[in-house]
Amino acid sequence: MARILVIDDDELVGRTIARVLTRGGHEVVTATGGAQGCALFDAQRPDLVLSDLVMPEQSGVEVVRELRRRDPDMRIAVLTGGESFGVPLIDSLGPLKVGAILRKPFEIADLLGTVDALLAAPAR
Amino acid sequence: MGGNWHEGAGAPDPADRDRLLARAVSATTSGILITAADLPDNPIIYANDSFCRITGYAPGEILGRNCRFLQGPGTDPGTVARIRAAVTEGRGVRERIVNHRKDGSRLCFDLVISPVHDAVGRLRFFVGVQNDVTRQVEAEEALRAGEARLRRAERLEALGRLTSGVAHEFNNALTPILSLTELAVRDVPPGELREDLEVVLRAARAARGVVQRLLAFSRPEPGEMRAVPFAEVVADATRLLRPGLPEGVRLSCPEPAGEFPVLGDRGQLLQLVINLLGNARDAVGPGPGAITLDLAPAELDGLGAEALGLRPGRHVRLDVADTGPGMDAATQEHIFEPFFTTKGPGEGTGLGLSVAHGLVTGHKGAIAVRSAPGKGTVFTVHLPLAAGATDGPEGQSRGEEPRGKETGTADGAHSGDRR
Repeated sequence: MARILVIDDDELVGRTIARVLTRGGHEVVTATGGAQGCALFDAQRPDLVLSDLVMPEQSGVEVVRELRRRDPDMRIAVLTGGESFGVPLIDSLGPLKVGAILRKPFEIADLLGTVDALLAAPAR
Repeated sequence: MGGNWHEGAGAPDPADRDRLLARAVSATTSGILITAADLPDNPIIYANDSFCRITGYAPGEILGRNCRFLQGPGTDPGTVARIRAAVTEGRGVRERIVNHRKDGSRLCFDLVISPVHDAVGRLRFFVGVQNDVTRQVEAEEALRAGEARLRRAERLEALGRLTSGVAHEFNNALTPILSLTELAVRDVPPGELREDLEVVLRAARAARGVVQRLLAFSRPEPGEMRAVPFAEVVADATRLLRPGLPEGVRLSCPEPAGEFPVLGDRGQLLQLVINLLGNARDAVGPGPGAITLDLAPAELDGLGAEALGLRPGRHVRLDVADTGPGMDAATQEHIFEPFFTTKGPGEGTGLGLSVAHGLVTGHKGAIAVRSAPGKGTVFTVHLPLAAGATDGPEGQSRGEEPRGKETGTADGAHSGDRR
């Protein structure tokens, strides 16, 4: 069992991921934006962060950059529902050492498999 | 003698005026013809040297004939009808007409025909003055084609923006539908409720598939870009498609003259060729018919590249020709737009060609279509060859002839196949 922070501006997506991961035996906290996510990160010290990529206030790339500053070794995966046209956010993830990219909508097995694989690997 | 002559110093003697006029008519760069209005079929009785030079015909091949021998497949029947009506009524007329030189090449004339009456007002002749405006017409056509391409590109980009926005929203919306239904299916005991939930699950997965194809059209996800031998990809695609073809449909793919390495994502390139082949298969139907592939090097110079919206340089060209029913211009105009389909309900999603367009654009290439009702269809893809490719078809590249040849080849293959 691990503590997982989920950051997604779509509350229904956040709740869904929380439900699936909780059923998979994990403890989940959710945030709907970067600021809330960083505050929860500081307060809860999760083992893994799942962050959406396209968000209105702060993009997933900025959120990941912020989290990397706090913890260079944190396990981080990003979620994407396909990018907005002409905004190749995914291209700028390169140097941020993201452990996995999960495309929405996913099968439960894909989500749990990705999370388990990241947790099984030593924290970077 | 009609007309107005200067009477002062340097003016020709009245006795020399006719000869001067004849020499002037002969010397002008406009093509000038005189036809006999009162003889059957209005034959040509005079052609100046410029007319012979412009059309490539010798005087003996011109004189005594009606002008219609200059007409050909490019001539607009409406223009001919208007000229004929004017001539029949003894009126003058000005038209732009497409004729053909002796060598068959297209010749655009700005043509002015005027009736010539005798002293008692009887119609005796027509004088025709024709100026060669072929280059001007070609430049106008190139401009119009460029504008049309730009309009299409802008429309497709706007559609891409829309579809990717919609796709993004739908992917989010589908996440709870898919995942929570999947969870619920696990919890619910076998029975009607569980069957219903499984239907929801299947529908959600189908919707996810549609959204993925929409995204492929709007902006192909950046896959792994490496030098991919495009000839191999084409061969793989034909191997995959061939077994599913009806017996009456012939699929031919001549041995390619090289590997044609393209910088790209192998899976996406395979998808591109499969989509084009699938479209050709659907166009041909149960047959009999043929799908003909051609893979060849194409060195695009500045003009050739600009016409396609590409950078100049070495490219590979893939033609996928089918003997299907063909398309009119209006259909071709929209053929790459998502959900635009000429297939009946349930026969296709209308996404295959828009995805192909997205994949080609994502690989910095261009895709175009040539078709006409009853004449089949040719899709042509140009992809830039990988820079520094050592095993590229260097020799063939240099041997590639300019664009005119390219069109000729493709059209030739076209007409040869469509009987």
